[in-house]
Amino acid sequence: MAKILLVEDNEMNRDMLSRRLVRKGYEVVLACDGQAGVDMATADCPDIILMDMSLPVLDGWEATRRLKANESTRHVPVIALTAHAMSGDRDKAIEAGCNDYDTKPIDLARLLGKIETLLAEAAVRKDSAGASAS
Amino acid sequence: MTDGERPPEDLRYLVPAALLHDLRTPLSQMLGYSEMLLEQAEEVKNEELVRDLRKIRAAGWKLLALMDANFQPLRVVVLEDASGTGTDTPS
Repeated sequence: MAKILLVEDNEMNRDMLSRRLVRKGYEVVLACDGQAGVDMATADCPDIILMDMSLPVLDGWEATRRLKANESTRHVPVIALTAHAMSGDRDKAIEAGCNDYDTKPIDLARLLGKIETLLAEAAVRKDSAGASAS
Repeated sequence: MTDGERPPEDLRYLVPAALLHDLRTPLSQMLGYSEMLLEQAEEVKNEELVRDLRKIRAAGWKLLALMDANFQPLRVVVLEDASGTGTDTPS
């Protein structure tokens, strides 16, 4: 099952969402701020990242920009999660390099759909890259 | 219309974005935990608990809908829910 890196500073949000994802069969690793998220994305090689945007130390936009600028992590899909849902937030997240965007409160079925779509697209890209290399 | 001309009871213009964010955060937690408990209650077929948790969940989503309706001018994204009943309405 896929490994998800959840970057979320709010303890209750982190606990609640990680437990719900584990119940759905995913492996979940956790980071509490943007810098820890960037570090863990490099060290733990997640299949996908759920990124809160309002984070301490390094916010989610900058963390995503750094992930997408790094050769070893740029291929990992990032879904922005935010409670803002305000004008410009979606565009701002996509411009930072996020592959998709969702709002809190989380509609879990909708989020799982986005996760599976991005994982499937990443698998296709990986297969294509493997075929090109061989 | 200037700020001074807007009716004072019009929350759409009085509630700052930060407050909307602050309201959505605990609401998100209440909905998330209630839905997780609901899944667990459904698994063990505790029908009484399932009924009550569905009421909590419904009340939470209703509160969210009320917030979105009142703050609609501030919002740009109303994402579709999994059943496809939501809307995508830039404003």
